[in-house]
Parts: sequence; structure tokens; C-alpha cells
Amino acid sequence: MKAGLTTSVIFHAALIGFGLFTLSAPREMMVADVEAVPVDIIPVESITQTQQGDKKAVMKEKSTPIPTKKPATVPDAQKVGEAKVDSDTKATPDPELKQVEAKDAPAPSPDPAPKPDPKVVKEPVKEAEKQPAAAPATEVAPDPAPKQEVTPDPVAETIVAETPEAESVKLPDSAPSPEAKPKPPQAQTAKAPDRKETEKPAEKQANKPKSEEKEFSEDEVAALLNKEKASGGGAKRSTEEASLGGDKTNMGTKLTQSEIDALKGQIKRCWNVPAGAADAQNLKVSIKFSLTQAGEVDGMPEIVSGGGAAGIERVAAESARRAVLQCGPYTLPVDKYGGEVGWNQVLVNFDPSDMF
Amino acid sequence: MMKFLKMVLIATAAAGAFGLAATLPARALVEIDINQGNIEPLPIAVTDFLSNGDLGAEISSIVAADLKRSGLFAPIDKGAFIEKITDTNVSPRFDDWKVINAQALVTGRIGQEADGRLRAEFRLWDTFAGQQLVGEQYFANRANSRRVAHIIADAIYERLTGEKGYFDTRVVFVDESGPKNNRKKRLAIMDQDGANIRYLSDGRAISITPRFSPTRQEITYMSYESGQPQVYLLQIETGQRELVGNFPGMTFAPRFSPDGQRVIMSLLREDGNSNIFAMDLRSRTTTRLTNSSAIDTSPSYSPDGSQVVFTSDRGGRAQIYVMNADGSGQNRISFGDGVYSTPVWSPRGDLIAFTKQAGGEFQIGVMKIDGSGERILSSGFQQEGPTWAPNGRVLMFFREAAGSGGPKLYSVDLTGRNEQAIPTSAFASDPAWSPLLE
Repeated sequence: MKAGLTTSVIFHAALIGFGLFTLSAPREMMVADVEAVPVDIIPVESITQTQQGDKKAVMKEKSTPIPTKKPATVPDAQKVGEAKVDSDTKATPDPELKQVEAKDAPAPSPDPAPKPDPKVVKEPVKEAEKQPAAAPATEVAPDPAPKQEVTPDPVAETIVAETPEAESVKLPDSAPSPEAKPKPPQAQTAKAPDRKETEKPAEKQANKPKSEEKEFSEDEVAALLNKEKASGGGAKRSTEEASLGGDKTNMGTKLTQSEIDALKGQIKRCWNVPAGAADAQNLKVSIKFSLTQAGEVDGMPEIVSGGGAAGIERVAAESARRAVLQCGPYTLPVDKYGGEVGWNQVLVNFDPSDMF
Repeated sequence: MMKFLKMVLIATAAAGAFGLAATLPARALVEIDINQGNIEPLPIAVTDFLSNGDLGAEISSIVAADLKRSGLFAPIDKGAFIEKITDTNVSPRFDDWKVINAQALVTGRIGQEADGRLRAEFRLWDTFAGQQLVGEQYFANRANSRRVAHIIADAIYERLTGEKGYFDTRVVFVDESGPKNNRKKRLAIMDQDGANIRYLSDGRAISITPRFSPTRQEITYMSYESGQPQVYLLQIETGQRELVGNFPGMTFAPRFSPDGQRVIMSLLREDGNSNIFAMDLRSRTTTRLTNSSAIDTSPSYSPDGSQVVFTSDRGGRAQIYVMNADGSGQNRISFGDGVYSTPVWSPRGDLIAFTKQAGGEFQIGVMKIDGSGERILSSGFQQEGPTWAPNGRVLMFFREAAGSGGPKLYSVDLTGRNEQAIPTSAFASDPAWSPLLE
């Protein structure tokens, strides 16, 4: 017992002595001088929703195509092969042929490069729609330059109609309306892969179709060919809706926090609070209003809640409504206008209770 | 057992589905919360009323001056107007008014009828919403043209602020003239904008603390004309006077009850004890309300007549107390450092205004009726005696600036803003605001 106690005391003393003399104040922690980085909080939907489909879209048979990898670049084919038709004479659309082609349409496949359809051999490709679904028409000379050009092309339409849907009749004869065209300022990142993948199948096709040409008569082919030079880049787009993403032109991007704060600041400038009133802190008003794409208030703002029919409540509602009307037009990013989460409709809650 | 399990499963599934549905986002709408705004005068355009002669211009200048003096409106200079109003029955071109930033527009017309009466009509427009807010028509005697202007200003004020106006009112005060050692104090009455001054007493005897009756054209005041300070009643229209009660000792600081039936005042007996009494004007019976050995004075009724606020120095220095109208339940509500006096209950019932002497200066302030939220609205060398406008929004008091030789009247908004001097021909003190005129 004694021995243990002694040893314990000795060792404790040694330890404490050691600590007293060797342990010193710790070294100062060097904190690196970090530069402040401006941070903008953006909603995650701006990234996740670009690929999200529209819940209300009609279910299509064809599923979303997988983007292709970029194949080796192939030089443009210029009237090579055993072309038995004169690709310079104008073609006239033949409705009968549409049905025929529909049957021959390639089966649904994830490969965006559909089975080569000889009819489409010499067709210049026009970008009718954004959808990169199957059956892009091939082009003799895929011209990468003017990609966004949409020119009237009745023959091209018939080709488009050959997609597996066999819904050729629904296609208009006139040029596809520009609203299907992707808006330039919109998320460019989302578009690029689309364009890329449709381009590649077009190029791929340039090589294949020759073999199956023999099955068709010259006249039929001639009738289909559009003798104009190839102008559009990329493959023919199908008219299928919502097979990739929804018909949301907004791509689901909400306003970021700083954009919301900017709008708040614009409205706040004009809001005159009724002060000195007996119940000033209970005068909450909510106003809902619509905006045009130019940022102007569309119609009369609607008083959703708060306010009253008379007295100070009515005054509070009117001053809130006047604030909204007076401070327009508002500057907001144009690309985030439309869609469900766009700023075409705004709800403002005015609450003066913090001021008193 | 199986059935029970099945039920549990169904219940869980239902709960899960409900929970999932509850978390689904509602239809997305960009929603913002705004918690800060401005407190600024509302820009308003008051156009000249259409009339033969310059009566129309006079009316609109009275209206614009009233609105501007309230501190809540900023009338726009007539030189900036773009559209010239020629017909009050036609909608104005709102864009012309929006451009000069007028948020409200007043147009009107005044003319004489065949029977000699004046007919005045006006319209108040909301320029940004593009609609008429108020349209009214009035008939009046030619002599009351100023009152018509004040009534129109009241209607505009009420529609745009939500509170009743106070422009069609009068102020009774004590007009002081003469050297300081031989001051002549007589009662005078004027419109709240300083016009139409009339003298009610001749000044042979000192008359002070006049107060309006809330229901009749009557004033109660204190006068030394009998040798001793006594409380009198004065009919404004007829000039008739009568002595209120016949008390041994001095009576002072009289005020009417809200129903006009009673006068409450302090009575100072020879033994130096001052207490509060209420006298019923019809039955002439008096009720004693306080019975302390301290000085209890300056009583004022609450707007519903159920309570009385007064000062008492029973706690050492003069502080503010509240009691029931029958004298029960007396308790102190002010605990600040200073001497409190002249408490007045707001006609809105939510605040009590008072004079406070602290730190070597006089302050006019307000507090809530439980004594909390004390705010000082104005500080100065020598100022006291606040009186409320009938809408409980504006206070008038008198101040003698150092070295000026005499007091003048001032008004201030209850938020402490917009302190204004009231123009009187001579020195003035002890103001009392009338209720809205009938």
C-alpha cells in the first residue's frame, strides 16, 4: 500500500514537473487571409429542373434519347455515291409517300440516330423543333454554320412526319412557328448537348443511306427532294412534344434571392405607410398583380387579403396598391418571366408592424 | 389480427400520402415580403375651384394650406400642373397628373345659387388607380365660405388617411397684450388656421384656462373678476356668462365631461388643501372625487367619461394619476423623473398628453393610458398646456421662447413631427381645441 502510494506520488510529481517546464503557450494559429468572395444564392432548381419533364405532358412512346458521344468528324459529302436522282430539281410533296414512309419508320430506339431512311438521303436538314428525338433527316452537306435558321420546307416537314407516330397529318404546311425555337438568352448549357447530338446522327447518316437507295424509284425520290442547299446544322428535330423536358420554356429557373431583393427595393420606394394611426401595426395588406414581359403592371392589382372597406384599412390597402402601380415598370430578368415559377405573377405582403 | 394489420397499413399509407401531398409545393407565385416603407407627405394636386371671380382660388388655397399644415400632405405647386380643368364632371387626364407625381387630385366648383346660398362641390381622384374616391356637394351661407373649404379639406383628409379631419374647428385661447408687469389677458376665439379672431371678454379682469364644451357652443373658464378666481360658463353666441357653483374658496382648472353635463375642477380651500370636484350642470349638485391632503388638480375626463386623469403630489412631486369617474380606484401611472402637470386625455382614448419639467426645461409629451410608452414631442424653455385636436392626432400648446416677451401657440403632430407656429396678432397662451363644428 505504501509502496503504491509512493510510486504514484513520485510519478505524478514527475509528470507535473515535466509539464511545468516543457509545455509552453501554444503557437499562435495562423489564419490565412481569406479574400471575401461575393456569393449569390441561387435556387437548386435552376440546375435540377433543366432536365425535369413536364408533369402534364402527354406520354409519348419514345423515351428520352441518350446523348451520343461525339464521333470522328466526317468530311462533308458532296453528291457522292450512286445518286440516281438529280438533287438539283425541286421536289413536290407527295402525301401518299408520307404513309409509306411512316411504315418504314425506324423502331423506337434510344439511339438518336435512327435506321437510315433512304428517302431522307439528300434532304437538307431544317431545324423545325428543338426536340432531338429520332428520325432526324440527314443532310447531304451538313452545314454547321447557321444553326438557328428556320426556313419553310414542305418536304422537310414530310420527313419529320415519318417519325414513328405516323401522325403526319398534324403537321402544318407552313413553316414551323418560331415559338418552338429556343430563345437565345435561355440556358445555353441545356441547348448545347441537344444540338450536338442531333448533329452527329446527321453526319453518321451521311454515310449509310446509299445502300438502301435502290429500293425506291427515282421519281419518288425526286419528288421528295428539296433542291435547296443544305443550310441548317444538326439533325431534323421531331415535332414530338415533351419527350425531352416539358413545354416549360422557363426551364424551371426561379428568381435568385438578390433578384427578389431588387424587386423588393423597387416596390418599397413607393410605399407610403399610414403613420400615427391608432392601429398602424395591424395594417397588413397582400397585393397580387400580373406583370407583362416588359415589367409593367398588367391590369389593376388585386387586394388579396388585409385592407378593408373603410377607414384606415381601406387607406392602407390603397397605399399598398398605389405603391405597386407607381413604381413600375420593374426591371427583372427576361428569361425568368414565363412558366410556373416565373415573375409574371407577383404576390407582395406589406406589413408595417416592424416600423412602429 | 390480419384485419388489424391491414388497417394499420392502410392508415400509414394514407398518412404518408397525405404528408406527401402536404409537402407538394402550391402553385408557385413569386412572393415577397415588404416590412419597411416610407413615412412621407402624400403629394396631392389641389386645382383651383371653378367659379365666377376668385372665390374658387380662395377656397382651394384654404384647402391646400390646411392639408399642408397637417404635415401629411404635400400640395404640388400650381405652376407645375399640365392639364387645365375646365369641367369637373369629366374624368381628368390621369397621365398628366401621374407625370408630375401627384398621387391624388382635387377638382371642384363653387358658385352662388339663386337664393343667395353658396353651392360647393368637389371630387377627389386617385390618379394611379384612375378612379374617383370622393365626390360631395355642400350648401352654405356666403359668410361661411371658409368653413366650406375646411369641411372639404376634412373630407379629403379622412379619405386619404383613414382618420377624421380636424380642420373645421376653432381654438379658444387667452390673448395677452401689454407689458409684462401689466398684462391684459382676455379670451379670444379663432379658426384653427388663425383666421376670424374674435374677442370674448374685454380684458378688465384676468381670464385664464378657457375650455370648450363638447356639445354646445359654450366655454368654461376661470376669471378673477369677482376678486377671487372663480369658474364661469360663457355662451359663445350670446355672450351670456354665469358662475359655476358657489364654493367657498378658489376654483380653477375647469373642464367639461364628454357628454357636456358636468364640469370637473379643483377646489382650493383656505386651509390649502386642493381637491377635485365634479358638478352636474343641470342639478347643480357637486361630488367630491379626491380627498387627500396633497394637491390634486388638473383633472381631465377620458372620452367615454368613465375615467379621470389628474395630477397629485401625494407621492412627493407632482405625478399623473388615473381614477374612475366616481373617485374610486386612484392609481399612479407616471413614474418618470420630473414634475408632471396638465394631463389631457386624447379624444381617441389611447394616449394622455402632459407637460413635464425635467432637467431644467419644459417638455410636452404623450404616454399610453397605463403610463407606458412615454414619448417627448417637444422640448423648450417654457412651454406647457397641451390640448388635443378632435381627431387625437395633433397637439397644440404654448411656448414662451426665451427673450421673446410673450408666449405663442404651436402645434405638433403626435409622432413628434411637423411642429408649426400658429399666427396670432398678439401673444397667446392656454389654447383649447373645440370639437368639430356642427
